[in-house]
Amino acid sequence: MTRVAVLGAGVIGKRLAAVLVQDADVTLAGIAIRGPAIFALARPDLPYYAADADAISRLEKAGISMRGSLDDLLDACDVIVDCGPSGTARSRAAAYRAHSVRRVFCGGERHPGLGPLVHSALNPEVASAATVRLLSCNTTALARVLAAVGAEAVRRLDATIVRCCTDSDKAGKGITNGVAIHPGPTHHAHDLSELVPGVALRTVAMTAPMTAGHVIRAQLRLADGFRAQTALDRLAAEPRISLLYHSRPLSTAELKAATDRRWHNRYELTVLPIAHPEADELDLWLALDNEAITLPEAVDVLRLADPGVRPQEARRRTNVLLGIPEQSGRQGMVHR
Amino acid sequence: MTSVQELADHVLLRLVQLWPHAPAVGSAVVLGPAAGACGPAGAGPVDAIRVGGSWTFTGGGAKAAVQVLFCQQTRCWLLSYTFVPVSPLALHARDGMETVPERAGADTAALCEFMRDRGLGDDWPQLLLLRAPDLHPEGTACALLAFTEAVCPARLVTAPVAESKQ
Repeated sequence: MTRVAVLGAGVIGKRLAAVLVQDADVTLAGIAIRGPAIFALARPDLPYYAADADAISRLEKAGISMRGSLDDLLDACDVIVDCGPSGTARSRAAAYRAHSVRRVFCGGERHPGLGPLVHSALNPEVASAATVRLLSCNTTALARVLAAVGAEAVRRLDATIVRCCTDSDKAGKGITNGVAIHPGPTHHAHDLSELVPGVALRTVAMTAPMTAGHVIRAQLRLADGFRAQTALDRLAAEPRISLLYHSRPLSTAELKAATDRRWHNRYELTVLPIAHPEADELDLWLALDNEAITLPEAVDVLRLADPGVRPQEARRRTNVLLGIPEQSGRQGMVHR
Repeated sequence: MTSVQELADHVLLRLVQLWPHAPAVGSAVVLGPAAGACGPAGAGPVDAIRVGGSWTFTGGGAKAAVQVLFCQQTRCWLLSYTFVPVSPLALHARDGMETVPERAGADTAALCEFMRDRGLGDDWPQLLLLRAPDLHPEGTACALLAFTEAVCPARLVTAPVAESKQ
């Protein structure tokens, strides 16, 4: 059984740890943390390790018992999923290599030296590499759309991303009344181009004071011979996509509150076609849970470390584990 | 009586009953969620604080002037209770009240996430003490608590449209 370690007990790390303790195919080897994370205070029963030397005293002071150091954890695992703060993983990569553990870096890591980007439906063959990077939340959402429609069916994708300014567990970030407009193209198009080089991509973004999930306007120009209805049918058939037609404004806050999973986790991407589709283009709203949407693909990648596992089977088993219904893609269905 | 007043009075009564040696004269500020109930708010306030009702609470031997404000958050209610205890005994948390770790009590985002992390969801019946009341030299004490409508499950708390227009 694969022993999986998690670094970080923040928004992503704690969700991944909670999923792994339920997965019969893996063992949670431990969670490395730097300090008394709120999740660690809430769940002192889980196996924690000190992520660095300073963490030991911080955790002892907070009364969180540790099983050992990061080195101890790396000796006890087969793969580590690094869910640390964005842009910080390079400092830890050397320690992981020294222990010869497989490395999976969560979205937000930009350095190509940490490994290729991977999505379980677009390039699953990459997943068995010794070190890989997962896509960020918004990139995962766009990747799911492209994978479901079929990259060969899309000539161009333009996306305008409206990001949450902060996560559910933080009060100290983000402007209070206004949006912050990102001045240039964002990394999402660049990242996707590594996976779907034949699609022209452009992404821009702004940040708004909310925590209920990101929203994307995605405009797809389809390739010759492909029709919008076909693309919509393919979106509807994907379990990790929930295609909705709404006659009233859809509140992302209500969408989040209505999901009765732990932390209101929405693994499924909500897709709302904006208007009656033109013959060869799609105009879509995408609503995603920025804190949970990357979990399915992260778990897929752990399964795909075994070259004998077929991508479709890996995804199916992950869907079962996370409670994503097979028919989630039916039009008009609301998440449960 | 409005539903917000019933909720606030219920919490204040539980509070004074939990500290039986400290019936007091005091004042309370109640910070309510935007919709007047926890959860998504279909309408503001946005970047503003709405002034709600005020009244005098009496119960359990205590008397307190209460003022309600509604702010732009949807997570929980806060109550700040400042009082002069009759008897300066230790004012620690008792059964029915829980003191949260300092880090989890830094703000309502951390607090509500702490409760979700524990698997308790968004509707918890406990009174959560963010800061245990210290007795100040001049003889006053101040307690800061958080709660949801589930603190009094027998009562229905409806969105106080009338309240918000006061």
